[in-house]
Amino acid sequence: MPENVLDLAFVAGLLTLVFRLATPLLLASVANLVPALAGVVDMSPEGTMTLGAFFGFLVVQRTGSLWLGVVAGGLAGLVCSLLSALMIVVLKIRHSVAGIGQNLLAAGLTFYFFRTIYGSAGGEIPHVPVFDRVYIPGLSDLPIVGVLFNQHALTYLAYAVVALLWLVIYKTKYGLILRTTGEEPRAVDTKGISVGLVQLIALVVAGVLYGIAGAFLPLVSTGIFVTGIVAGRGWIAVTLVVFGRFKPVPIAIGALFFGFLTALQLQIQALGVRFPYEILLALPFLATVVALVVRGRESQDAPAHLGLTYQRE
Amino acid sequence: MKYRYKLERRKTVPLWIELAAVVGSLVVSLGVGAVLVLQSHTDLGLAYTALFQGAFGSREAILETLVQATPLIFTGLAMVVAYRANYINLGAEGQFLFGAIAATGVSLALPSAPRGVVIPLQILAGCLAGAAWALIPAVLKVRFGSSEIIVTVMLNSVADYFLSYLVSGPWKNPADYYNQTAIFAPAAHWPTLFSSRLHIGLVLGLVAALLVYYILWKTRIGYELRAVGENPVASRYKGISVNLIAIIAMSLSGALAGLGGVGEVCGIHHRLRAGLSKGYGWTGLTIALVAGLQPLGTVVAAILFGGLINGSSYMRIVTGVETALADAFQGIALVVVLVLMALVRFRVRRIPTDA
Repeated sequence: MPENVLDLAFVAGLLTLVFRLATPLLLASVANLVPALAGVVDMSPEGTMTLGAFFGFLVVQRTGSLWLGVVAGGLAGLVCSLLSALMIVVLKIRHSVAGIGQNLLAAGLTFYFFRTIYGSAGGEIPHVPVFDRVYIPGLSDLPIVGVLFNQHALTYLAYAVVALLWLVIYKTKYGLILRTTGEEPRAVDTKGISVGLVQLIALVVAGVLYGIAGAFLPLVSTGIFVTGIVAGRGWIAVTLVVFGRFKPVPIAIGALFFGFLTALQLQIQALGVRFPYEILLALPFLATVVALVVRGRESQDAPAHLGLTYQRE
Repeated sequence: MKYRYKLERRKTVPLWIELAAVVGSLVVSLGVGAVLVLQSHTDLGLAYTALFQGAFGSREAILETLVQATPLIFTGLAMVVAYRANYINLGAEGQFLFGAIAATGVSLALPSAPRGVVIPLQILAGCLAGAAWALIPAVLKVRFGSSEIIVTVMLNSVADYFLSYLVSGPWKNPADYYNQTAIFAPAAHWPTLFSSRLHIGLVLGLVAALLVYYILWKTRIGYELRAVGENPVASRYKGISVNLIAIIAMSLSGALAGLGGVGEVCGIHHRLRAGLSKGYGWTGLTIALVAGLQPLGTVVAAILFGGLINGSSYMRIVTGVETALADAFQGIALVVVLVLMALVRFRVRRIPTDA
């Protein structure tokens, strides 16, 4: 190992990277918590993020407006979530199977649109402008914690979303309804609130956030879309909800941990350490399995009605 | 007399309605696919005619369609076996790759073995490797309750990276620019059929389909497997070991997927290389569900989807519509079949109201 591993600049660079790489995971995993609390196992993030990434990229490439790209990603996510709701809430298809179908559909459509619009002949795929970092005056100069405040605008948005969702889930009437829907849907139903409607709203909120999380990927740092850009992040997001035992703060910490793993892998590669890089690439996926096994006893902490179909009697 | 209409769940869905839903889902999917073709400003008739001709229009086309269908038969059957036990094996992709890796290991280790020795060993090693890779999620599910869906998806990526490590590192043929192994010795190449690219893997696939049918419907293990899939709680009361069935179902599923991988390296490429699977595991899921989880129907569905993949190349040459249409079509077909199968579970009943 080169001796500059413990260099302060290396550490600061690593930490800055951690928060950047964790952002899409942070958004998608905390988003995935929302339908989970309403009793819906939503396995669609991988595909939804892919579609969001593509439409985010397409709109920025056509309009030049980064924020329009983020909106487009969110809208793509919205459309996906409506299809999820149709399958899960209306037709009562088994949640996991519906989610897998959604993934394959979104991935297949994205691939087709991408090839149709940008060609398959290995031609030049355009680069789009990317978000600049926003340095928060004062805060970004602080040692160590400064890395929290030298990030991209979408990372700040992710912080805000996590805080807002935490507030709504634990401090408002709507959060209470959401959580009760997952624990005891009959209680919600007897209060005259539609279980299906709560689940629909939860899915839509999550879908929009997956789409934005997807749009983050091409619009920060690389400025290019490739198929497979999401690279398992959607599935890791689903795992993080189980790993974080259905609580937003542990989920966010889990997302940061995965950001750390990815950052470490990139930094080690950049240092030119001789080590089969495939092992490093496989690391987050192995870690996901370990995370699931270590903290994933399904019975604990999960909403009592998670994954079940509510039937009025 | 006045009526009101009530939507209610059927207790059982008649077979003809299920069949109609399957055919209907393919028709609806072709319709949605048509929207995609039109969106790229192409003559729809021309595109779909080319798709069909490229898939089934000539002897060569049909043979190549069967070539494409061969790995799909295996991954489709892998899905059927696991799904029947209420176990969603999204890991067929990784198990396929491990089967291919094991067969490559055998082929490279025995460069001078005769055909009669090396081919059975390739098959055995591939089945064992696929089953072993499938056992990881099965054991984690049984022991720790970890979601097999997530574990299998994650392990797919791990298998993929492991394969690229092998073909770029220890197994790389130094003479090649690309990341791939050397070509296997001729005795390790599978015999071909009808002097085409079609190989004995197709025959093995048909045998496997019959075998899966036999196991599921004519043996005690198959009965227990389906019982667990339909109602795990009741099965436990009947004294069936649900955990053991999960392990058996996943091993069998992994072995089938692994054998598919063996066929691709030994029958088609005769070497291991990166990017071996083109999403066969995922297509297998669509095929299994379109086939209503019937082993013999899976063969038919695999040939249809093999035709779709094969025909899409010709369609691209004739009309310029991207072959990615085949990928989009698979996703569409899966969602449509799920929706239609769910819809036919309901019926509308007319109830007379006296008032």
